[in-house]
Amino acid sequence: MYVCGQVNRATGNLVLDASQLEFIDPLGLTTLGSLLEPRIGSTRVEMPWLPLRLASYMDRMNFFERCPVLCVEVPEMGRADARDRLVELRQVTKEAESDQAAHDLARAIAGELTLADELAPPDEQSGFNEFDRYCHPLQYSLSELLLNSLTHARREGRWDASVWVAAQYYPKVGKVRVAIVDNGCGMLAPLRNHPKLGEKTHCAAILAALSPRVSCNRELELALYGESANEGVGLTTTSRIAKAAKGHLLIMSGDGVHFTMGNGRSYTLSEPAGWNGVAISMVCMRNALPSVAIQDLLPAELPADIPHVPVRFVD
Amino acid sequence: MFQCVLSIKLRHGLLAHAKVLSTATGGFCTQISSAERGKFMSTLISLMPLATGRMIGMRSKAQPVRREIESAISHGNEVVVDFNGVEATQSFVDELIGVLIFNRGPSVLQSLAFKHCSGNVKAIIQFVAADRSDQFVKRQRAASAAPRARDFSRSGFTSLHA
Repeated sequence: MYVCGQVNRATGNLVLDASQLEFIDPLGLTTLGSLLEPRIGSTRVEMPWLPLRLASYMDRMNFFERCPVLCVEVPEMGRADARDRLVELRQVTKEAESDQAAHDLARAIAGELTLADELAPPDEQSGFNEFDRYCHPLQYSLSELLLNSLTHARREGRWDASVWVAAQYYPKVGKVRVAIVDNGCGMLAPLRNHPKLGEKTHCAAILAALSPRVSCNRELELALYGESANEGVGLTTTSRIAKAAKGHLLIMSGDGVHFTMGNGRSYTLSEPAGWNGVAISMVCMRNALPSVAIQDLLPAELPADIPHVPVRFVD
Repeated sequence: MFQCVLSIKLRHGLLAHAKVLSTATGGFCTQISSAERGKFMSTLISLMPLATGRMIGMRSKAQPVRREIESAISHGNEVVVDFNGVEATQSFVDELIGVLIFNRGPSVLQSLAFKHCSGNVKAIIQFVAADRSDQFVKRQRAASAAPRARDFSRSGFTSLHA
């Protein structure tokens, strides 16, 4: 986050010193891509001291294809087939791409990483096969997070905001990490006048966004032209999915950082980050995905005086 | 667009004629008239063509389907939305029926039925229906209590609506 602020405040060409860098995960990769994107084609960005193994990893994740950083030494060895462990960095700029992007990521993790057969016959009772049970909670979460980013990032005049996604599986610990990062307006600006926002801080905005039914455009009249109103439960449900899959969310926006593990922990950076996009990392255990039942995770806290609404289901 | 007329024997032994239409949305909309009941029309909308994998998430996919639903209801038809083989996110379902309920009230659900829904989809539909119905009722109460229109330009939100 500090680096984000420094990069955003920098003018002219940029040299990033990554000599002390030891590890990059999908969140770091997508955040860096989102940060450097506005500079592509206009300024020169160099990373001359990037360790070889990290350069190889970033090259494998297609980072340099998206962000042409100079002075990076990339090993000339053949591209390893790592489809069973990672899903390369990709950029999503339109809502029309979101379903496909969510499906591709979820499918890669569910299929390649779990060896589940997509075409296996479904279970008669549930109608799903093993692949579906791995894929479904991931695709649901990714779809909602992508939609959130593509919708809200472009408020406050940030029409050119884009979303970066990447994913990786760590087989030694059985963990899946998925990252969705946008370079839009962040969470605080759209929620600034929301009655549920206590303090006007980035941390408070993150906490408000995690609460059910908090959205900057929940009322249809408040939606911008052509925009849909949101119920404000996408991030809430995704957080519960991560928890049900024995994981958590890490959410960053502005100078605020929030972990959803346990009862939740928030931090405010001591220095202004100078970056207002939203970065979300979803971490979960691969083997816990099939047990996630989204029907049990929807916000159930409805007002007591809500009228009974009969809905007809037929088979 | 194409259309054809099929004869279908329904569960109750009724012989019905059905028009099968491909729609601009890529979905399939079937209009079934019950010969015996005569005036009753039921429109069946299948969502399977909209799925990516087995999931439908995009709000923009729901908008043309909602317009088909509104058109069918305005002609006095019942609409059956078929979720056979698909899952959906809360955002999609909200765009599909939440907007209808918010604008028309929960009574619009009397003209709707949902078919072949998984447990997840049922729960999502019920959640959206209850949540948007609650919003509709509260908005009606607020409008009754304070008849002057609320000036959104002073609330810090911008809107490009005329």
